[in-house]
Amino acid sequence: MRALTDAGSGAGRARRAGRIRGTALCLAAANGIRPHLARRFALAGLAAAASWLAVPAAAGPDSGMALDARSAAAIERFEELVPARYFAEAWGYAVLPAVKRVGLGLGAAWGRGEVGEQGEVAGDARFWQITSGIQAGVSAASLIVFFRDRDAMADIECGRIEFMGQAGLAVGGVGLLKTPAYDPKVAIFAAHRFGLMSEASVSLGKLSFRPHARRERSAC
Amino acid sequence: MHAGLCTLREGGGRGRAASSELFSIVVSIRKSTRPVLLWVGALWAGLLTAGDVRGDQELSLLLDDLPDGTTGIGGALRWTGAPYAAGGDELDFVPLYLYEGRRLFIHGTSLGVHLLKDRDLEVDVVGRYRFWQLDPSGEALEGVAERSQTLDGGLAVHWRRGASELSLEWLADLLDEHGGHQLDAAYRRTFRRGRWQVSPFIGVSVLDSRLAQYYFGVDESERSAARAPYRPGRAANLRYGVNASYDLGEGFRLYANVGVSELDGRLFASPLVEETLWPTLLFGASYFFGSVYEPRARVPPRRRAEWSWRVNYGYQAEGNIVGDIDRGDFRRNVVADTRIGGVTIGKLLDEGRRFDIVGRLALFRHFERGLQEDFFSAAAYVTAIGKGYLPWSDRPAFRWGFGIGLSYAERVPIVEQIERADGSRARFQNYLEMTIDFPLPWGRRGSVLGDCFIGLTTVHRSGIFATSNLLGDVAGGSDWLTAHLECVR
Repeated sequence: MRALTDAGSGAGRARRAGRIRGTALCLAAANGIRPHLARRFALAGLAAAASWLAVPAAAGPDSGMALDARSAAAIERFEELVPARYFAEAWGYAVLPAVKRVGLGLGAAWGRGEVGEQGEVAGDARFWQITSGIQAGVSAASLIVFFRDRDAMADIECGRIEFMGQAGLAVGGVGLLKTPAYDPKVAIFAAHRFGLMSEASVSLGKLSFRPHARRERSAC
Repeated sequence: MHAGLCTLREGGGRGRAASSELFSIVVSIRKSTRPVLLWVGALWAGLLTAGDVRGDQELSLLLDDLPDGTTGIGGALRWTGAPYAAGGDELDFVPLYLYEGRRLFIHGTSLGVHLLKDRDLEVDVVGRYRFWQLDPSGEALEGVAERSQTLDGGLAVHWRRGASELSLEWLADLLDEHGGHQLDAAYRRTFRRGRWQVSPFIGVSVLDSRLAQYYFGVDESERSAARAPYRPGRAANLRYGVNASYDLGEGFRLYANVGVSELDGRLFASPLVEETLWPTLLFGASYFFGSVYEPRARVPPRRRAEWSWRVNYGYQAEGNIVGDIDRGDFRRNVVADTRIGGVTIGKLLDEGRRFDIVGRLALFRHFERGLQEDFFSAAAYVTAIGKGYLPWSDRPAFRWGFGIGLSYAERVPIVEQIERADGSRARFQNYLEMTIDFPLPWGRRGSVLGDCFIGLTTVHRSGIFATSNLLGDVAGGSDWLTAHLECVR
């Protein structure tokens, strides 16, 4: 898998910053704010936008659309936790930087992230899960799902609901969450972030994929 | 309150063996357990060797076109307008467990074995639930004994020619309720257009004198000022109606049946009877695993011989299978602190994309620990079994299972007797099962313990909220939490 953490080209960043500055000046004029104040607002906005745009975790050699900062940070963390073969051999992946979990007998989990495929950021990912089992508490964890081949990835394009199971224990910043895969060609790894939760549950979950660009849809 | 088949003949001089628990599963198979074992045996024989039966034409489902091996579950609402003086119209839920095999069939309220099955001729051994009953709780029938539903069994022959079918069926009472027998002859023609099937039928049912006497006669003991004893003798009812089905996508099939029995004059003359027409309506739906359109190999050759065995043992739980046990409430029931042990055999019926469908037969020994005598129960059910996998591997990290079917108990478990304050109880009940298990860590593939799993099984019996005559109109149920060892072979 190629690096996907490029923040984008410098020219692109400048264009986006320019658009934000222009928009701020127009809004100020429309609201009767004096030009010098408007300029200060615009400069402040520009600074904020620049800092936001500068957040991307790592700039790689490849160009193209980049993962957002939180996804990139999650990937960096998983690179330390997950055997390298999954990154090297996966057809694609879905990374969910913060999957929130809450449960008391019955529970739920949800999160958003991005999908990468063959070295490109292919789209957005959404995840939800309804859980039932021995569980109590709240927690958050990053999740990464590796798809071994194109077929395995097609399932999330179809938005199928899958039966899953998970077990975990979380106390503050220390924790462990294990989630077996719903398909032999899928691998799921979780990295605990924070929370206070004990869980051994089964669930119905759905990982869905919204592609950025028009693409040929898999037969579902 | 009418009693269903299950509330009848409790006890009855059956020999009991006080035995140590698991050991007695094996050694105490006595005369009293024969009905349970025969029931299990018949079903299992069919599953191992693995059509359609017309008898109760009004309730018959249009399943002729399904490929062998089709498995489905569903439910139907059945309404019947009773002909009796006291009324007794019923709206009833009928659980539909459907299996269409080369040898075995289970069609909701009927099951059996195809002795011969080809395109034109079919000969079956059939067992069918008889829904007929008389609830004498009304004033008009005061002093009249209750007439119960029962299970009939017999032989059926179907001769097909194109869209037409002639059926001949002989049924006798298997549970000694009416003690008689019935001969049916019917003709039906099935029209198929797209997703629709429509099948009008007409037939005649000949009831022998004992059957007619049980449901329509008046015994000497039932005599009153307004009711003289009456013996109808042999009678023949005319039956006609239309059955229809509609395929909603590949998996769902909807059913709508309407039928009428016109009572013989001898039956209508009974003091118990007020109406000459006996109408029945049925609306239902079922879901089939696989496609109802395309026959396909449901089990790939490499898994065709796959079967499994399981032993489990556990205790009566305080909570319910759904909402309590599944959320970690593992408390023991202190009022009925009983135990259960069982042996289950399973056969793979369908390899699914995410889960397999396995047909299972279970024999349980109930250890009532002095609250009443120990007894056996049997369950026939289908289970969906799915797996969670290790990363990029076909090795399971865990399995989950959900089973649904029917359970028949030699006696009503003590917990069901205690919890049903209204006195309703039934031996024949709906069966649910939930399992979760994990592979034995030292069970390598190919070894004795290869493909073996340990885990928890929750065993549940209930009457589906008192909605079903078939299940004795009882509410509530019983739940056992058990530990199990299962090996797939």
